[in-house]
Amino acid sequence: MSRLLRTFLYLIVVFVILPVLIICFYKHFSKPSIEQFDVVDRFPRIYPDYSGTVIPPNIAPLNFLLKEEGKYYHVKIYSEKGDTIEIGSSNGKIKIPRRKWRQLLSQNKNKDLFFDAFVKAADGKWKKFNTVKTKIAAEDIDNYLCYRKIHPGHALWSNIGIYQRDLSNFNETPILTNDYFQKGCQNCHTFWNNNPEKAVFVIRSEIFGADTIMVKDTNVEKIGTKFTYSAWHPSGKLIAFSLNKVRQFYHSSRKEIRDVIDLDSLMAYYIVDSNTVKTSSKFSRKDYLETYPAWSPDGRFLYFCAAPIAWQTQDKIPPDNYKVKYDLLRISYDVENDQWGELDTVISSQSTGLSIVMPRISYDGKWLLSCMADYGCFNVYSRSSDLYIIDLEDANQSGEFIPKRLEINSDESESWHSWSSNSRWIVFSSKRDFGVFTKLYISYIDENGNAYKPIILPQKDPIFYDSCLQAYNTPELIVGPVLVRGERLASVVRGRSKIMVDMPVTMATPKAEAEGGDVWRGQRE
Amino acid sequence: MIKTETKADYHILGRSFWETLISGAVFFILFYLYLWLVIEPNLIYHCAGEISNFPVFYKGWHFFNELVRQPGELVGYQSAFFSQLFYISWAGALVLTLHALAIYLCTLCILKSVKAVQLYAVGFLGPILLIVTYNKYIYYFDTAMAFLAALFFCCIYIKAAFKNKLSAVSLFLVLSVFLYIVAAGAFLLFAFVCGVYEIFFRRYWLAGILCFVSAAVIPYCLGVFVYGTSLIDAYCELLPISWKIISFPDRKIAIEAVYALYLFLPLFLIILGVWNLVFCRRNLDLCGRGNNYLEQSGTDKKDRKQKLKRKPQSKDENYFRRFRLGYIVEFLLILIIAVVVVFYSYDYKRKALFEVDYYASRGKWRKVLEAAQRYPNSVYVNHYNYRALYHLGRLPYEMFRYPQNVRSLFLSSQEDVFEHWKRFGTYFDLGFVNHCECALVESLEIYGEHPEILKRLAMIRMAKGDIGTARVYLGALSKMLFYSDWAENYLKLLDSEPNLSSDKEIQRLRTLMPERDKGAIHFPVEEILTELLEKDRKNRMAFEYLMALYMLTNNLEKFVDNIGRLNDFNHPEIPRYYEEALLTYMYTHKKRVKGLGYEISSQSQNRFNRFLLTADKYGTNEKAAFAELAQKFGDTYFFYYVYAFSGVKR
Repeated sequence: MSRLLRTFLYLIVVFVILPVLIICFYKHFSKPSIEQFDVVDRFPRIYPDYSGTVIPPNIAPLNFLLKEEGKYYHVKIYSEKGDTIEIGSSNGKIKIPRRKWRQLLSQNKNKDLFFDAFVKAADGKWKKFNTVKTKIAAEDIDNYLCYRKIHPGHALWSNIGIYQRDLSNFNETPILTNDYFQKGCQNCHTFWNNNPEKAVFVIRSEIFGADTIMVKDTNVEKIGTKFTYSAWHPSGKLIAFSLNKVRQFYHSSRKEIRDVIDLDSLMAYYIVDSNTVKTSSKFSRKDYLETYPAWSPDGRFLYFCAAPIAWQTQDKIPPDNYKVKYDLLRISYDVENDQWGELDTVISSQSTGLSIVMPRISYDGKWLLSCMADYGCFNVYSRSSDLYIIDLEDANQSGEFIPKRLEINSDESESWHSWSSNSRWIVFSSKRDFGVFTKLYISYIDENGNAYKPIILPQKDPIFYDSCLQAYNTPELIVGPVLVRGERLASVVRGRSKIMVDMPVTMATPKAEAEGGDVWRGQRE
Repeated sequence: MIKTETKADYHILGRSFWETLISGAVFFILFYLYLWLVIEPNLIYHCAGEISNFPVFYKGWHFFNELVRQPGELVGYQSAFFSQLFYISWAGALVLTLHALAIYLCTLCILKSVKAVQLYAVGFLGPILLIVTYNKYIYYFDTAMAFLAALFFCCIYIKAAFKNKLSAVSLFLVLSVFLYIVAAGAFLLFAFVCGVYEIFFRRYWLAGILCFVSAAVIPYCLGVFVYGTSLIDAYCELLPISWKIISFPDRKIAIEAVYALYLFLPLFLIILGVWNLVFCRRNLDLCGRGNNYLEQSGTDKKDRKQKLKRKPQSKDENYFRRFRLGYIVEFLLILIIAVVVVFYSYDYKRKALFEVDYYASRGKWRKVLEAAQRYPNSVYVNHYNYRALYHLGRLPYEMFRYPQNVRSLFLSSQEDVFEHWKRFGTYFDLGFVNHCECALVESLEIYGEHPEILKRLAMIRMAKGDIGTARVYLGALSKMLFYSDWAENYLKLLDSEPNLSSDKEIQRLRTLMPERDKGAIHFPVEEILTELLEKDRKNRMAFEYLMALYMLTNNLEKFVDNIGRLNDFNHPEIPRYYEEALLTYMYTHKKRVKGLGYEISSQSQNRFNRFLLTADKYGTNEKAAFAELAQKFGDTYFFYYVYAFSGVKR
């Protein structure tokens, strides 16, 4: 062995192995014994605040920061059954061991989880705060969460990626980032019944065009048109989608500068087996803006949003009267015979005074969750956007659809929500804590449609979001990981082969977009 | 494994250790001084809206973990770290010099291994090519770092020189995997150099072919299959042919120098190898080597020691004198080549662009004016000139002393659509915060998470009362090496005083920022300025820019409509150029301007009369009058009004 190699090995031993051993030794023997302490009659300040939340039994450890003055911190986490988890920290960051955490949660489903926080003051005395309590739900959340990460940009973009996160731990892997196709844009992604085996991803690139990438099991194809917002039929046989002529503009003094308007939009549907696109005159009306399709879980109804076009010309952006309000509509559909029924207005904006968009129906068919805001269709830019829930079972019996504002809303924008496959969890994006840096929140919905205090998507470092310059949006819960590799998807994006589809409508805007002639430049969260 | 260079290694090939050391030391001391005092790496750090790939670096494990997930990101990480030292000019110059020195030493090591130390001048080629890139104020440091990594691994492989083929192949594969993880695409250079070395110098054809095959296979297997990178990135990441460089016009300035950096060594080795093949086969005595000559001389220590003892004895003193003279001439020649290359590649205009932005960001307005003199006809430099003149209170008194271009005032023309970086400072000074934020956010996409951008975004969000967003920007800044104190001070201030009522800059922005909301894709400049003046009549910058806009567009009706606002600013007299514009208006419109509250000075009146007299001499022939008017009145508004440019008074 050469002298250099020997030196190298010595260095590894001295600078890597020895410090690791010392740290392990220190951690093992430095657990404090807290026998005497003063009781502080208040809850400890923890960040993120998990107190009073309902958490999924399969969620990753909820690491947190104890924001109390002290020189050492100690936390006990326990429930009815199982071992107590004890964690010490010198900086207040409480990082919970994953295995013990999983064990504790799985043993105590539908029970309370307690956090006892102890802080050692400068004088060496321990203080104990009131016990923080959360509840472990009985039902799991889907194992994976797919979302897009992006700088909250305006008209330009650099790094955009669609990622999947294993919710039981902190592993995040890219499904497709725009590095694979030279900085194009990626927007909506839709899964079939929360199943990663069938999905569509929409990309737009100046080099490779604006297309839709469809994943069917291990097969990946490029469809020569762009689905703006899409929804898989529960049978998996077709995808309803909207085509939108989106334009972004800016406000001169509003806190959120960006605003978005659909100058024109319509809906169509793509039949998977025959690779054809069809539409119906009932949802591709020239004087209406139709968007945000969503299927009922039985596949019998297509819900969507529509508003009358209030402008004569598209030359001026924003046009006069741009503050349009969308209604929620539905239309029945017979998938076997490909027959559409009659249009039915579910909620009229006139009755609520608000614009309703982004309908998503729970998989048990009981709840319709949507966003309502002062105006428009792009609620992530609207502070007034809140989540509303509609009891569809009640509505189907009474014929009256009554939206109920969820208590979990904040003063900032809430939007982009997704249901878990067991209809007990929702994930939504919100600007409540980090302003323009939209983050994802998980909330439990009980059988009565009540939403519980949400938790932010947990991260290994509890202060991760404090310096995270990326917005998380368009979350979609999925039951497993997308197994198709990024390069496989990217090779299809970059490839020339694509399924050419004829658009069945003559409306100028969608026709042009379908041909890839109008790659939108407007940045959109 | 690696053998350290010995004095004997150099001497045996006709160059003493001290001579090599002295020539290297002189070259690199000059190299360092040039970078420190002329190039000023702090300008490269600043980016100035010209460098879009300068890396961001955050303290902490999270950033490290995030960054080192793909092949090549280890080099990216350490390049990002060392690049931060550019912030301090002398430290940045030191980093760049050490980097160039390492390239020089690695090249010498390879030259020595192929018995070509007499061609030691080749070792200076890398540093000279690097200087070309620094002269152009462009960022190739990560690519050059990857090059250094590849070169270093070449040295390890070549110096190890295992005789056992299996050992050599094993070493190659281990190094390849490691290097690919560390430096991604730069591994191709390593594989190629090793292949050439095996074929031409060791005559191990199979090993050479294996090297070439591995260049095709390893990136695919490791990059695409193990790391999941895209096919293109698997091969090209960190190479100058990467799409991340060649797809962006601003990133491929002087890219030929980087191509040359990557190609000079393989090409040199091929030429040398072919030379050896051709001449050594014909005349073994000439070359003094047979097949596998490296094995003969490169590893046999006894033989080398004997040569060392023999060689000097066979030469007389004249030989040394001649040799030393030759050495000095040779080294002087290298220095002259370096100076010529530096002279021809030095881009003083680009430096001026960097300087004006750098000094403007630090409020050194006199220095902005000084730097602007070095590139006075640039639209972009003039943009900073306006700001400097405003801040020095000289805009209405001196603007027409400099070349004028209405495009420069706001850079709002279609040609400047992506010049967000250059614009945001002006909007920030004006207090038009939403427009400034727009420009900053776009800059963030183009130039990355640069601290200058994040600082201003944090200020704007604090001014708007959006503390949630501001804290994130401050949080990011607090993890940066040279901005953490600034950010942490504001984070503490936000805790103690969320309204920030004691912060003067925040209060200034709040006073100036418009309140009436309007939606649009583009806001015309005039509309912006009048909006700002509506919010705060005493927004002097908005007023002076509005008047400058009217003068530059010769819109004297609107100039006169707004001249009454002068009363809001306690001017002791009408500024010179406003007087000239008023005189021009009165002359061209045959109207008097009443109710100003000021008298037009006799100097301006006289100047105007003299201008008219001079112009009258040439009648209606404006072209003929130009030379004399330019000489006498090239710094007046009258001249600009007629000829649409200025700053030509001699």
